[in-house]
Amino acid sequence: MLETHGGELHALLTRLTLRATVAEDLLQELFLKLRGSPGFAKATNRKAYLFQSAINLAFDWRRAQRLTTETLVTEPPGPTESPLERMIDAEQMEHVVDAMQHLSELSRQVIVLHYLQQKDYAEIAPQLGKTEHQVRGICHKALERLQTLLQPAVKRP
Amino acid sequence: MNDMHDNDLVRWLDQLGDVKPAAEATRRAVDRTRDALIAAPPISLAATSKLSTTSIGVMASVLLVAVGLTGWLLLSPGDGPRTGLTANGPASVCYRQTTRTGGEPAVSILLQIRTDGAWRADKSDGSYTVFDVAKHQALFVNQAKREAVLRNDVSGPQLTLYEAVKDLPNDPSARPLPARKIDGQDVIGFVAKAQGQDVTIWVDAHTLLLVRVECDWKNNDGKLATVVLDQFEFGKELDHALFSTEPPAGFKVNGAVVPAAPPEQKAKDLVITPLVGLGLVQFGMSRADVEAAFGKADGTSELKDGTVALSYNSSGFSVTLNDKSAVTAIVCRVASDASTDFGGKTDKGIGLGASLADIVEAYGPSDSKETNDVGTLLTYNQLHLNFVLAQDKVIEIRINSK
Repeated sequence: MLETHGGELHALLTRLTLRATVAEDLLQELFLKLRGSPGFAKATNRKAYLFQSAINLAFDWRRAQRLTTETLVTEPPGPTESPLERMIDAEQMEHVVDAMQHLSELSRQVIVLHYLQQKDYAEIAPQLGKTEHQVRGICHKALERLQTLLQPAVKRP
Repeated sequence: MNDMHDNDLVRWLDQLGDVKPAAEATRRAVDRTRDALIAAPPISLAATSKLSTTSIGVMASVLLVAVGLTGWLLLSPGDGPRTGLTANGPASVCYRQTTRTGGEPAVSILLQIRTDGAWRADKSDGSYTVFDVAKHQALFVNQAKREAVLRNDVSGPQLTLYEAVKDLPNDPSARPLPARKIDGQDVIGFVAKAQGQDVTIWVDAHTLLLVRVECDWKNNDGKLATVVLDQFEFGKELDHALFSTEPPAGFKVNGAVVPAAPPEQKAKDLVITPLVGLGLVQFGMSRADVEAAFGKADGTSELKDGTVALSYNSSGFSVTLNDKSAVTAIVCRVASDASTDFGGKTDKGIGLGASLADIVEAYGPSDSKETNDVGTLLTYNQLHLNFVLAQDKVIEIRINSK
């Protein structure tokens, strides 16, 4: 599975941590953990299990970093981006991922699969044992929740 | 919700989706993970003792070389470079292996290998690895941290280099070297190719027993490691206790590796009794009582307020104790990435997978019912009992003390 999904997992972990070196460490940790995981051994959809474990691992790492949304920047980036604005972009992305920690596991999974892994609802639904309609609903609510969590960050002056 | 805000958020999320690591970074990450998996025994220890990825890479190559060369040394018959070992040769071989990678400090390991497939590697810091091929067991002991990891599912290190060198004794291209002395000992040498790299073997000129092996090994980071095997001893009587895969007494054993929970069959028989407890464990009991009933926990979390959570992941439940070490809560749940489904039921027959209707039939209407996009939380105040349902199936049962 490392050979098949390693690249995709590393990309996902990079998006969730926004740190290449951390993603590298987490990829290693992920596969080492799953070697001895009875849950993984018994999983009927090992790929889904693998990616869910990666998401959990990344958010565990984020929690450990004790990042909070308290320091959100208040200026959204403009249409043309200077280096400073790109830095703000990076910081905003950090806050968005950080805010995902406050979502339920299911909501987080839907957001990650849909936006970060760019999968459509029809693809996500069977993976989560939901209907496409349910996944849309979860995604919609998750966006609302994220919006609330990030309100200070995206609110225009 | 404000459309502009929605758009902003979706834009951030889209940008996140566009984040891509450099191809080189991904390649390196995958290579290092592969290294770690190949060298599973030391890496398992590393996972708990936070060894650096560099040392992991070094260890991986060390083991590949060690096992590979050893396999060859112990098994090689034939007419090629002679090592003094035959099928009827000594029952053990011990040697020191020193690896130097770039400018990093040399890493020395003492290896003791029995021909029945057991081996032990001791590092200078006191940590050691015991591998028992027959039992498919590997034990990793970190003396400094008093931690041990026992794996029961190992199938043996990869004999990658062995595959490359096993036919070397019959390799006509093996090149003899001029005789020389090593530490006053007359030796003769051979150079042979292993995976395109030279392996130099020095044997005693009289006994033909191995004296020194030198090779260069390119690890997956592309770094060249120089490995030297020396201080060989053959046929030494080795204490069987050295090869025991029993973790040392008093050491913390990694719960994820050594299932300490009761057998699955026993776990399935556990009954959740609100206001009382789970199986033999009752509210108010001590940690010692819990461990007497369920064994050592797979994992332990201690909070600043003195609360301790004992996780029995392999049985799908956890037990929380307050700062006075008395059981106050028990949570039984569906499998996560680190646990398996809880197999028991409540005293009224409600287990994981039961429906809302099943619960209401058993316990009557709940005192409260909260629903969000995760699922539904039912609370029975008098019983100090909660059920969490998702898609109308129970995914978690929690009981609390009064």
